[in-house]
Amino acid sequence: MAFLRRVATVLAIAGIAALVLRVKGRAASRSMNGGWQPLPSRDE
Amino acid sequence: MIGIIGAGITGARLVEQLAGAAPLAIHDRNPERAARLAAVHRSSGHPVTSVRRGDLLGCDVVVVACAPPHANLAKALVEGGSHVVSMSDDLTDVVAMLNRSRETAARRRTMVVGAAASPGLTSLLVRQVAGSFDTIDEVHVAVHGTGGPDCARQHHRALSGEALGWHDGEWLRRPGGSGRELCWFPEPVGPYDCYRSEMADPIVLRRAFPHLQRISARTSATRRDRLTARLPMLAPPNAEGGMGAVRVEVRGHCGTAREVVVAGVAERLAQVAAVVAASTARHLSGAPEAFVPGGQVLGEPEVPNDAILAGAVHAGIRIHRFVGST
Repeated sequence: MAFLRRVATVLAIAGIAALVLRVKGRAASRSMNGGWQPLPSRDE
Repeated sequence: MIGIIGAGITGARLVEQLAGAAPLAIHDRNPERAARLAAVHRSSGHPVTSVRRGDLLGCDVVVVACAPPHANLAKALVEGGSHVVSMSDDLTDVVAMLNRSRETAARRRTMVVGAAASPGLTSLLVRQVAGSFDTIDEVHVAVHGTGGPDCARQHHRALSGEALGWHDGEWLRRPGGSGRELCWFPEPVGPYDCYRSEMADPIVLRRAFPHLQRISARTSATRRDRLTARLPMLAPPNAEGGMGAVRVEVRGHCGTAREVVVAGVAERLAQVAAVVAASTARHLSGAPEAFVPGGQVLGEPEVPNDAILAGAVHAGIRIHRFVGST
């Protein structure tokens, strides 16, 4: 019984980890070199 | 008189923007909330009253700032003789309202659809930026944050829906939550991972700029947002989201050179949406002849986009442009 409970726990932890990793992933590597400046309006 | 439906976070900001410009009539599904909001502004000397929905039919312009759907409400208001400004960001709702354009035009009324932050400000920004190009062919929109609780619920639904994108002459349908892209928003928001979601921007932008070849729209989301998108909301949404941001990436040609311009705004999204809707309502109320009857979206050539954007800038919206390499 204890063995079955241990197996079920390991499977549950592995399942949750797989789900989190699948959701987490990694962002597309993109960088921006520069900064934001106020955009002059057309009447300026 | 300008009518306002919805006295939530966005509705309250809208009343702040419009109080003093015209007499206001507010309706909310919770009459006490509308009465409270009206009383606050009446105590400052502004003519603001809380009314039943039927009493809005006499208003020149009605701004619909409640949770979607707005289509049936907008139809009834147009039939009652009012011009309508809808702040809906729900894709199905926006399409339904635009599909009634002919009936609206037949009654010589204007229905401005999607006059909020996204859609709304995004189209105005694209129209502004397009002036620095000879031709534009790609627009990519990204949004970070939410306004009030209804906006947060819409964000939750959008991540589990079907995202639309315009790609070389055809609509692409992709699952919400896919297509991760790191998008940089104006400070203090900075970079966030953004994903496709069921947003109305592609439909609105395609209508305003029919010659575009590629249009995409993404929204920022956390790991928890994506994991729980297909479940009911596990916790009630916050009263108001924090600092939000909107950015548009416009690609096109200047002569023979290929150019990219990224413009954006960092501000609370309820404030952005309210400022854009208020500026639109003010212009529609003051000069309805400047608008073509029928269903319209911001950014269309027939709409006084420059004046509406100038009104938003005057109300405190700061537009930024990214300078550097993308």
